[in-house]
Parts: sequence; structure tokens; C-alpha cells
Amino acid sequence: MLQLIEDIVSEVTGKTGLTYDTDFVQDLALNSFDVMNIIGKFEDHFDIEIPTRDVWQLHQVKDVIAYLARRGCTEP
Amino acid sequence: MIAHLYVSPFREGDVGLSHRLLLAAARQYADSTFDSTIAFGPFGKPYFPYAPSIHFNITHSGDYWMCAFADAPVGVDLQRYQSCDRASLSRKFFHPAEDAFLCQQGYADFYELWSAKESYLKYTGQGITQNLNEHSVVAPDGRFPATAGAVLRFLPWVPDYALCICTSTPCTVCIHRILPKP
Repeated sequence: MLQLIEDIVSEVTGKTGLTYDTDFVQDLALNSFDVMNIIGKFEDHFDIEIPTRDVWQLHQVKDVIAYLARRGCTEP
Repeated sequence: MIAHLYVSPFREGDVGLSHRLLLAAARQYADSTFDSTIAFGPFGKPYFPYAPSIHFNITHSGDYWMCAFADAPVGVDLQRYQSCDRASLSRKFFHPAEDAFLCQQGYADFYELWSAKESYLKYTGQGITQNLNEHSVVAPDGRFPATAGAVLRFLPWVPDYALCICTSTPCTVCIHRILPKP
């Protein structure tokens, strides 16, 4: 799942080298538009809707992995 | 009402740069001795608890960092144009009136709409914590940007960026350039 997240983040922002502890805002300096653009990619990839109110609880890569697991999303 | 917009080059990867720029800008805007302790509102908007008359809001995108200061709540958003699926993002995240507005003009104002929408949400202090499709910056009669209870104003900036400021009343904007210090 880490590789998938890195692929999507890289596709949207060009940033690479993510780890489980990477913070999207503090470490990658993403702004709100970057984050929502990435969320849109996750939604398309997993065919789910991610409420915006959930997005702002997802600070680090590991938060996203845990969230997607709770939503039943697994790598194909 | 006068808003002061401080602008600096922005370097990704410079840890603490935004905080240093905020303090440098605040010391130009206010006196240099105020207590610049920062606290955060219920939705994460930063403020100076010991200088409540100083309102500020930070944005960064691409090569620029900006911070707006005023004596009343203010929101500002800068957004660089970048590659994305405008139609998909509009359909997913924007209010139906906003999506219809963009669709009928081929999504040309996509980034302007984003910056208007975010500047309003930052003005209210709510930020992007609730679903974005619950509020519209396109009026029922099609005016854009327009929203009840606030004034949205686009500011000219360099090509391929949208910049919008949101205040309670029409404002004059003074732009100041600052440079980051190590």
C-alpha cells in the first residue's frame, strides 16, 4: 500500500521518497489543493467516496493506510 | 478596511520557513514587541491569542508564500495552475452550482473558483474540514465570485496563479515583499 500511495502522490505532486511517517503538510509542504487532488485519485482508484471531514484526520502516510484498511480497501 | 499582503519566495523543504516568514511579516505589520505566541482555532486556523486584534491568514502554492493581515477576519488563497482532471475534481468536490458554472465555460475558471472557495473557508476559520460541496461561491443568479456575508476579491498576480482574498467588507490591499532569513 505504501508504494501505491507513493505512486499517486508522485503522479499528482512529483514528490517521492515517502515513508510511513511522512507528514503530507509538514514534510511534503502540500497545500489543500494538492491534498484534495490526491484524495480524488484515491477515490477513483478504490471506487469509494472519502468525506472531506475525514481527510483532515489523515496527517501521515500511516494514517491513510489505516483509514483505507478501515474502509475495506486493499491492493488489487 | 485595509488588508496588508506580505509576499515571499517559497522554498519547499525549508523546515520552519513559513513560521519564520509569519513572524517577520507580523513584526512589520504590528509593532516588533507583541507576544507572537500562536494558538489554533477549533478547525485549525492559527491566531495570536495575546494579540487578538491582529488577524492573519497564510497561503502558499508553487513558488510563493503569502500572509494577509487585517484588523478583522481575513482569508487568502493562492493557487498555481497545475495539471489535474478539472471536470472530475469539480464534480467530486464542488457545489452543484459551482460545477454547473464551470462546466458551461469549459472549466476555464477552475483555479479561480478554488481560490475563491478556499479563501472564504479560511476567512470563516472553518477551513476545509467540512464537505466542500455544502457552500457555493457562485450566486444563484450566476455571479462569480459571490457569497453571502463576505466579500471575495481576486487580486492580480503572476501568470498561471489564482489569488483571492476574502473579507467582511470591501478592502484596499497593500502588497509588501519580504525575504526569508536563515
